[in-house]
Order: sequence, then C-alpha cells, then structure tokens
Amino acid sequence: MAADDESDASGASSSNDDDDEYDNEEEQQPTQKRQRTSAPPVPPPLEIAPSSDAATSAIQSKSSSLLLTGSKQQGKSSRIIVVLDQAKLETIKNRRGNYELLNCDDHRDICKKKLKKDPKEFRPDICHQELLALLDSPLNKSGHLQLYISTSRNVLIELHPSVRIPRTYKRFAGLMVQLLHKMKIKASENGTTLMKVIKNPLSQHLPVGTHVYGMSCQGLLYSPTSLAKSLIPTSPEECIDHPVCFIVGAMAAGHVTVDDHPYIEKMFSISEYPLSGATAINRILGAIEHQWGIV
Amino acid sequence: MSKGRSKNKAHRSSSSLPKGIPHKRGRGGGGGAAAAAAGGGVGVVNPFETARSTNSALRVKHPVHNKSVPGQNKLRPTTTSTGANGTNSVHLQSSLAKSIARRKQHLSHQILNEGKANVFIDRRIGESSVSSGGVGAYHSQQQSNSQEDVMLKRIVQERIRRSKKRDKFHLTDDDDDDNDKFGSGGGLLTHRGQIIDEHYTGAPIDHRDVVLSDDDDGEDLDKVDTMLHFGGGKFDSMNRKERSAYGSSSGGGEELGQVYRSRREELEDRIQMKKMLKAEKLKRKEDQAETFDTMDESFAELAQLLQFRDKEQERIQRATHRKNGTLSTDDVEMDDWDREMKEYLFTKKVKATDRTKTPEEIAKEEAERLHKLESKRLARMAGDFLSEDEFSDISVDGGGDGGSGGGNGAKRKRREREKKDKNGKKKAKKGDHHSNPEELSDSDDDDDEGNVNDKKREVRFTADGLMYVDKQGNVLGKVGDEEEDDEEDPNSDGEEDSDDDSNEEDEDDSSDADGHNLGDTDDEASAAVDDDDDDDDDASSDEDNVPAEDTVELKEGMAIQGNYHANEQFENKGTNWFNGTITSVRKAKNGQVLYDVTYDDGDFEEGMVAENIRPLPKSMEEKERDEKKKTEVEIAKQKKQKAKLRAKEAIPFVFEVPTTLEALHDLIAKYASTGADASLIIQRIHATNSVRLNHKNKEKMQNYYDVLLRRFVAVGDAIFQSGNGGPDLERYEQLNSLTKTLFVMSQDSPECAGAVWSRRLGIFQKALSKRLRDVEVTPLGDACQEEFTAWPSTGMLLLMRALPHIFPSTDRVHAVVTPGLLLLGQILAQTPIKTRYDVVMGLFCAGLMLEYTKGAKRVPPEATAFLAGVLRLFADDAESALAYSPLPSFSNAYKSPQLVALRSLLSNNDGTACLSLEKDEIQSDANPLAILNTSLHLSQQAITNLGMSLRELARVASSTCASNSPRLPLQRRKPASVKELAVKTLAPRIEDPSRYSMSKDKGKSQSQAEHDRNRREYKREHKAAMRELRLDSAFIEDERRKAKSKADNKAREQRHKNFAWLESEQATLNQQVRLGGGLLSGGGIGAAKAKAKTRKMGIKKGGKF
Repeated sequence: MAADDESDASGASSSNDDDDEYDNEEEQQPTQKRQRTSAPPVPPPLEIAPSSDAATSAIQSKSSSLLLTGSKQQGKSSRIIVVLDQAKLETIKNRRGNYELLNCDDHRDICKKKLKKDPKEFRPDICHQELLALLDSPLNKSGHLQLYISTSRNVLIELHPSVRIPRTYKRFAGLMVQLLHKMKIKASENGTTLMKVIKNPLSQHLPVGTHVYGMSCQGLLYSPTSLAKSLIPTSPEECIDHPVCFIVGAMAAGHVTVDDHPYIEKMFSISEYPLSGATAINRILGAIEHQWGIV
Repeated sequence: MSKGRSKNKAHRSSSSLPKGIPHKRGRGGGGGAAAAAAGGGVGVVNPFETARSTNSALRVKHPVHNKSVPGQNKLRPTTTSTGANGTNSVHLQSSLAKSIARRKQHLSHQILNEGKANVFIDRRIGESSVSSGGVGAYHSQQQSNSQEDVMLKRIVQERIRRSKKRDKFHLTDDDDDDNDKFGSGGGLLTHRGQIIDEHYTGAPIDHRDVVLSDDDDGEDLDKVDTMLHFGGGKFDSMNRKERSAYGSSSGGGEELGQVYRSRREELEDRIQMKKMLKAEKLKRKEDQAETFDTMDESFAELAQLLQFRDKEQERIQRATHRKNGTLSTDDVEMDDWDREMKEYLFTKKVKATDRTKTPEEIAKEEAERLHKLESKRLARMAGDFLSEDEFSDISVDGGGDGGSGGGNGAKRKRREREKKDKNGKKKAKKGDHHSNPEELSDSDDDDDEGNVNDKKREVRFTADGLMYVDKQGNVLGKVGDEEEDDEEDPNSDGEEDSDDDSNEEDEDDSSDADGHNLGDTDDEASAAVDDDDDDDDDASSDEDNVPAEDTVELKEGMAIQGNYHANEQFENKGTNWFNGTITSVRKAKNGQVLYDVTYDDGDFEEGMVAENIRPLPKSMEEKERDEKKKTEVEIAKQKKQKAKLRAKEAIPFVFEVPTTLEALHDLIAKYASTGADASLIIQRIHATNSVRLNHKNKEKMQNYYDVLLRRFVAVGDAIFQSGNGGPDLERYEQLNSLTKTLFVMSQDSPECAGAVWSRRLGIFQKALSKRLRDVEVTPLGDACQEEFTAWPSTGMLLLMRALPHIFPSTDRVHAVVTPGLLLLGQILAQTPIKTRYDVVMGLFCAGLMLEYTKGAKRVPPEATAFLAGVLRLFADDAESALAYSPLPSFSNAYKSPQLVALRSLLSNNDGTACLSLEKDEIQSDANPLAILNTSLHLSQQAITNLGMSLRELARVASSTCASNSPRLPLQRRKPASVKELAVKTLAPRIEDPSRYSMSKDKGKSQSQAEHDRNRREYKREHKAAMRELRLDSAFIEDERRKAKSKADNKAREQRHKNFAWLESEQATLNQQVRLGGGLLSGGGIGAAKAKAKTRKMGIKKGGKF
C-alpha cells in the first residue's frame, strides 16, 4: 500500500457552489421541515428501571427511526456522505472466458501487453479495503453513513448501509464484476437492493446544501478531531440541516481534484504523512463517532 | 476525361445503392464509398456508413477489457485519398457498404457474363485487369496504370518465369545469349569465372585485364601473379576488401588461413576433450573398484561382529560368575534381558479375532438365512427334492419326531418346545388335541383314532387368540373358552367332536379311497391339492400288499398258476395250483373270457375262467427282495410326501410387510396356530425387512412398527378379556416377544420409532381427553361388564409398561418417555374412579409412574397421591378420608357402592393375593385384598425410591419449595439495545465468483443451453441469409433497371438526334420561307404561299406556315 496516498487536504479552494443548488435548497427546505415535523415522534422505550447506557439509548432513540428506512430517504436522514472517487473497478475477460475484476496481480501481463497500461494503477483492493473500513465502522452500524463509489470509468455506485461486503478480495471481485454487469446487487435473504449503479452526475444525488470536502494530502492540514469539530455538526440531528460529504480517493496514485468535482468546497488533509485510504477513513470516522458519542 | 467518367460512375453507383443507405447528393458527384475513392475532385464520406463506429451497435454497455465485441474487429480501416489536398482519412466502412461493394465486384460481374457460353481470358500481362475489372475501382485504377507499369509487370513476370529452378537446367536457351554470363550453368569449364575453352593455355587471356584492374598501383606483378595462379590467401582478401562493391564491410570475411586454423583448433579441442573424458571415465572406474575393495575389507570386520556364537570359554566364565554373583553390570542387564525374552516366549499368545459384526451385518445374515430356508421350503413344496438328506428329519413312523429339521434350527426348537408343552399339559390337552402342521408325523402314529377326532376342527390363530374354525371358515369358538367348557363338560364336547369327525371322515373316505392315513387331516385344503399323487401312491402300495387278480390283466404267454380242473373239484375248494403259461385268450359266447393254459408239466387245459388263474406268485427270496425294495421306495415316497406336506404347512420364512393390523392378523391366522408361531412370524417379518438391510425399508418398517404397537394393544386387551390364554396362546409370552421386537426395531431406527410412539401417545391422549369429556354425559360403569369407563384399556397401559423398556426412562427430557410420563400423570390425576377396575388400572398406572421415575430418582406426585387415595378408600369413613385427597379422580369415589364395599370385602379373604389385570381376577372376591396389598407395597416402594425418610423429605420439600420473598411481578420487555438497533448486515447474493459469466445460457441446464444456443444461431443465420438474398435481389433488380435505362437512354438519344435533325431541317426550310422564298422554288402551300407572295416576314399569330 506504499503507493496509496489518497487522502488529505487541499489548500485554499474557494467554495464554488452552483447557484442552482441554492435555489433548490430554498425550494426544498419547507418540504423538508414539514416532513420532519409530520413524522411521528418515536415512543421512548418502555423501561421500569433506567438502563445503564442512557447516552447510547438516547442517540438510538433519536436517530434509529430514520436510519433503517433504507437509502431512499437520504435527503432527510442525518448522514455523513462518503464518496470513494476514482475506484479502479474494471472488468476483464480472461483466457478461460470468465469475467474478472482487473487487478494488478492477476492481470499483469494483460495490462502490459494488451491494454498497454501500467498495471500499478489497477488496484481494486484499495476500494475493497476502504469499503470494509467504512461499512464496518460504528458510524455505519448506527446508520449515519451513506456511501457512493465513483469509478475511474465514471460509473457511479450507490451502496446500502447494510450491505455486507465480502471479506476476501476474491469474493469482492466477483461481486463487483456482477455489479458492473448487472448494475444491481440484491440481498440474498430478501430482495433489498444493496448496491446499484446510478446515474451521473454525483451532485444530483447529494442532498441540497451539502458541504462537499475533498481529502487529499495536499489539502489544508487538520487533525481528525479538529476536522470533525469544525466541519461536522455537534450532533447527528443537526447534520440533517447541514449535510456533509467527504470525497476520498480510492486510486493507487493521484489526488481528488476540483476539476473532477467542481462542487468541492475545500480540500483537507488529516495527517502530515500520506495515509492509505482505509486509514484516513478510519481516522475521520473515528473523529466523527467521537464527536457524536457513538461508541 | 477522367473527370467526366468518374462523374458518370458516381451517378451510377449512387443510384445502385439500396434504399437502406441514404447518401449525400451534391457537389458534383459524391456517392458510394468505392466511387468516392475513385472520385477525382472531392471525396465525400457517407456519414451513415462511418457512423457505425460510434453508434450504439458497437458501443458496449459494459466495457470489458480483452473482450472481442462482435463486429468490431471486422471493421477495417480503408484509406481513401481525398484527391486535392492529398490527406488520408481513415474511416470505417459499414458492413452494408461493404456488402454492396462486394456485390459490385462479384455479382455484377456474374450478371454481365450471364448467358454467355464463352469466357474470355485475357492473358496479356498487365492488361488483364483492364478487361476483367470492367467495373468500379479496378477500372479506375487501371487508368492510373501507365505504360511503364505495364512494362514493369511484364519484366517481373519474365523474371519470375526465369527464376524458376528448372530453368537453371534449361540448356537450349543458354547457348546463344548466356555464354558470356558469369556463373551460368551449362557444360562450360571456367577458371575464376573465365571460360576455359580449347584455346586455354593457363596464362591469363588478356594481361591487360589484370593490369587494368589495379592500374593505379602498377607495381606488384607478383601479387597479381599469385592472385591469378593461386588465388585466395591474404592478397585475395585484401583485394576483395578494396574492390568490394559494398566497401570494406564485414562481408569480406576472414582469411582462409584463419578459418583453417580455427577449424583445426576446434578439432584439436574436441579431441582433447574426448581424451579428457575418457581419462576421467577410467579414473572413475578405478575409484569404484577401490571403494568396493575397501568395502569388502570392512565387511570382513563387520562379519566378525556378526558372529553370535558364544565362545565356550566365555559362556563357562559367565556361568561361574553368575554362580558367584560377580557378574558385571552389563552382564546383569543382559541376563535380565534374556530372562524377559524367555518369559515372553512362554506367554500365552492370543490370536487376532475378527471384528465384531455390525448390526447391519447381523441383520443381513439373518435375512439371508431366512431367504435360503424359504427357497428350500418352496422347492420342497414344488416337489423338488435335491438330495436324500433333505428329509432325514422325516420319519415314516412317529419315532423320528425329534429328528432335526434339515438345518432348520428354529423349527426344531419350536417343535421341541411344543413337545415339552404337550407333555406338561397332557392332561389338559387329552381331549383337545390341537393340530399343528409341524406335528405331522406325531399325529400320524397316534393309535387312538378317537383322539384324532378332535383335529377335524381346525384351530386357527386370530387376533382374539386361538379359535376353532370349521371347514367353511366359521368360527366355532375360542380355545380358551372351550378349555373351560371341556373341564366343565368333557363328555358332551367329546360327543360333538366325534360326530363332527365321523362326518368328516366319511368325506375323507369318499375323496381318498384308502382313508388317506398318511397325512394329517387337519389341513384338507392342502391335502386336496395333492389328491392325485396320493391316490397313485396309495393304489400302488395297496396292490403290493394284497395281490388283486382282477386288476392284473392276463395275457397270452404269461406265466401263471392255474387251478387244475377246478370245475371238477368239489365245490371249487381244491387248491391244485400248478405253474403254467397262457397259450391263448378267447372270448366265450356269454362274454366270459376263457384261457387256454399249458402247464409246465405238459398238461393242457382249455377254457379256463379267470377265477382259476392267478399270476405266478414269486419265490420267497424274490418276494422279500421285492418287498424290501418296495418298502424302501414306499418309505422314500412317504417321506417325500410328508416333507412336501410339511413344507406346505410350515410357516414361511419370508413375509411381505403387512401394512395394516388386519393384514398382520390375516397372516397370523393363515400360518400360525400358537402364540409362539405368531411371535415367530412377527420376528421373521422384521428380520427379512429390517431397516438395517435396506434404507428403503424405513417407511415400511415405520408403518409396521405402528402395526405392532396396535397388535400389542390388541393382545393386551385380550389378556384383560381372557387372561393368558393357555399354553398355546401364552399372551404374556407374546407380549414379551413383541416388546423385544419393538426394542430391536427402535434400535434399528430410533427416529422412526420415536415418531410412531409420539403419534401413538398423542392418540392415547386424545382418546383420554375425549373419554374425560364423555364422563360429563355418560354414566360411568364397570369395564368388566362392558360398560363405559374413562380409564384406558389394559392393552394401552401394558404398552405404557413396555415403553420404559424400549426407551430410556432416565433421560431428563425424552421425546417419547416424557410425554408418556405426563400422560400417565394425567390419567392418574383426572380420570374419575368408579369401580374396582378403575382402582386396579389406577394402581397399575401408579406403579408404572413409580417405575418410570425410579431410575431418575424423581418424585411422581400423582402416583403417590393416588396410592394415598386408594388407601383412603379402605378407611372407616372413606368419604371424609377422601376429602383430603388432592386428586380429582377420587372426588366422587365414595359414592360408588363397589368402592364402599371394599373394606367389608377385605375381611372375607385371608392369605395373600396378587393384583391381576385380568377380568376374572378383578371380579373375584380376592381383589380388594390384592388392591390393598399392592397399594401398600407401592407406597413402600415410592418411599424407598425417594431415598430418605419422610420427615427429612418434608423438611427438604418445605425448604426448597418455600417462598419467603414475594414473587416479582413480570418485567416488561427491555428496550431494544444498541446492538439490536444497529443496521442489519445483509449478505449480497453472489454468483460463483470464480467463474462469473455473462452468457445468456447461464443457469440453464446443458441441454436447454444447447437448444437455446442452436436456436439463436439458427435465427441469426436465417436473418443473415434473408438479408443477403434481399440485398442480392435488390442489387440485381437495380442492375437490370440500370441496363434497361441505359438501353432506353440510347434509343431516346437516337430519337432525339433524329428529331433534332428533322427540326433543324424544318427550321432551315422555315427560314428560307421567311426570307421570302427567294431561295426556294417551292414555297409552301395555301396561306404560306400567299404570304410568301406578300413578301412580309414573320409568322402570323396563330397562323400556320
């Protein structure tokens, strides 16, 4: 993972949000409010004795009702949005006629000879690691995370928070091939759609008024906690009004750029050192979890 | 010229395109691709033909590396020169355009040649393309071919022709023009490239040549000489270097000397190497020999070590040392070792045994044995006796009863047992002799015919036990009942029997001439089948014993004994029998047969009647021999006969599994006559159809298990009704055997047995609850009087008794036993008691519960409470005593007169009494005592089961069951924890990742996939063929129209031309006329003429010429 230096912080990047977005926000704000108020308050759990962990239960009681409703209500839920940018997810047909996820280990020769490309750049395992880090985090378990993957071929994938990404790379690769071909992956138990290829551009899937931050080692250096403090609302409820999106790279080399994502407000880094994607994600999420009291 | 042509061409080609391809018109002549390529001015690319490279057909939905997209590799870039600017633009031709171009090349050519018999082949070099490629690109290309190209082609052709190998040996051509050519073949001798002819002198032909060659140097003639004479060498190489056309390149090569030297060195090297190898080989060989030698030497040393024989001295020394006890430690150890070894020598050796057989193997063996026996039996039945020893067990007389049953151990055992039984119960059985098919020979030798009488009634074994069945199959009565009857009134019964017998004997006699005394008559059916055989056999045996004259036919030449002159003797009483022969046989007038006999002594007698002639009696020895033979044969026959009968009547060894209780009872009724037989049948059914033999038997055996359970209940109920049923029925014995079978079957497949038991228990429970409901509406009565009682039947309780023997009762929770225990508890607690029967059943239940709980040291409260209740029944004031009983069963017990009378009845008896489940016993007066006795006994047992004194028990119970603190109210459900609220992870539905395929046939069966593939392919091909045909026809039609329009155009042109000429003629004429006709002599007709006369020019409006 030495080559992975996708994280952290750009310098001064002026926020160049589109005017359209603000217009949309103005239009949609009232409806949002109405919906929030109309939603029936969650009855507090029936208790005779107060439970030992009041804090967590409080969090759960507030947030859980919004979480488990699936990915469709992203506009109203209090979620941190994370986008894995430039993930190298590409399919290749091997000699036996099977479809595989192009990676630098298995397809070195093909990369060099047939595709005339540097095999180093085909690292779907980075995406795999980052996905594991994201989906295994308590933040995700508590339902405060929304994930997107944007591949280098410009395929945009939306992930359900409850998807269980295969732990082994091989199975992950198979799943990704299936996803890229079928455009959709469903759960084995019920018919819930867990992964889905959605339409570009990304901006149309972000809630109105989302603050989008890019992570790059060249960005403004913040410690994770201070990053969380300055960027993230103090509680998940406030996050509904101020949705935040982080764009993290999933490529072997390079940076998340404002050219790709013009809606990025600022680039940040969270370490003086170049970190691997999974580590950077762990740190950011850890800071957010700490701030929100998710244990 | 070319421009005009191309214009024309472009026009044509564009019109030839099918309608599918829109094309651009305009700018002078764009059009089809081919035409555009040839087009002079501006090459216009049809965007629709090139559009395909970017359109959706080739743009894939899922970009996959290394995957060939159909149609992508077919597209080849075609280079078209755009003429004026001269830049090359590469574009991709659509397949449609390509197909059209192809048609232009081939199809149009064929159309042109259609109907032409001859083919013109243009063999002109460079010109052929002109003639053949009359159309399209070829033609236009030809235009660019200049004369030079044609010439070039010709030269190339010529070169090719000459460069062929065979032309090297083409002598004729070389003679004239190739003589001076360097290196040309032929028969010429050359030296250094110079032809050696007859004028050759060895000297250079022309000195000047040499001098001229290096005229600049002009010095070393020696060198030149050397070169000329010997060539090669250093000089040559230098020379070559200088003169080489390619300069001093490496092509000049090395000097010959160098080459030679290097070659020699190489060879020497090789030789050296060979030598070295040889030397090395030799050395290795020597080394090996040396090693062997050393090894041999060392072996000698080793061999010395291997000598085991003790030295005599050493041995003696050691013995003395041992005696003295001065052995060294090593020797002591060795001695110990030796001793131990000796000990091992004498230890008992145990042979390795075969492994224990698995239950499956045992079951298989048993089944095989039974099948073998069955096949033997069937063979006997069919009269197919293999060898004599098969019926060694069968004796003609009754003495061989104990004989072994031809390897049939089970049979023998059974018979022995029966015999024993018979002996034991002789007195009881005297007048009531049940026949058994097995007892064939036994009954055969019974002298007292009167005793056999009884057998005329068949005894059949039915569900209710042994029954007398007459020949029509009507049930006459029960064996057990009859026994009692017999005891009461033996005489009358005997008379009845004898009456029956006499009738049947008559029948017998009528059917069997000689009374059929061979077989037992109890199975008439089987005997009837064999009637024919029997008759034959019997008849022959009879003849042997008493010679019957009427049966022997007297013939001519037969040796006979004649009664000499019998008529003349007094009253025919004389016995003057003499030997003689019959000379003739004739018939008298009155129909009597008369014989002429010539006696041996020479006498002659005519007209003898048959009475006076008898066949020659045999001599004594002969007779004896014959007799012996006859008897042997007869015995064998009898034996066979008996064996056959016995086989027929024996219980088969192999049965089909009966699916219902009725079927099982039918089987038992058909083959069994005693309870033991029934048990045997049941066992054999299991043995031959065990689950262990075949897994497929599982269902059958599960069913059979249920049948057996029901049979168990039926037999148990029969016990209640009529007790053990005598030595033949032995119901208790049957139950034992059944239990064993059930146990074995449960071991075979516990889950099946468990399922069957559970269902059966469920049925029992349902029946119980129904009875408990019925108590409300139906008055309770005495079960002994066939009245309603809520208590379960005896059979069911007996089955419950068998349950802890089949399944473990000590399990904490058992799928069968625990429900069984609960059921017993319910029965005890809830079933109301009215009669003594109920009390007996309850006591039995209580005993059962105690037994169930004994092993696991549990407390059965229902049982103890019931026992207490029963004891309270005997109290002075039963009513008040029973008020303390916690069980609902006893709530109304004091109202029952039967139970109230218990205490009073108790005093009537003395002595000990045992509780019995049989009806008679329950009804007997001794019953109350038995009840008291048993309940006391059970109470004692219950207390001992607890394992502690009552006081202690009370203490323990009060301490353990004490509830000091008030019971907590039920807690409400806890709130969902964080963990429960967390987002559930859902595993995605992954197809096999190792070979994910996008094919359409994924997930189909092979045949289906193949079928679909074929269908797709067929469809594709079909479409392609249709498309091709359509394009072909369109093209042909187009060509036809083109040709037609061409011809039409020609005709029209001609016509126009003619019209034009005519018009111009007319115009000239008209002009002349207009000018006044000065030049004309004629000058029109009518008005024109008049006008011409007026000399006014012009044509009048609307007027004619």
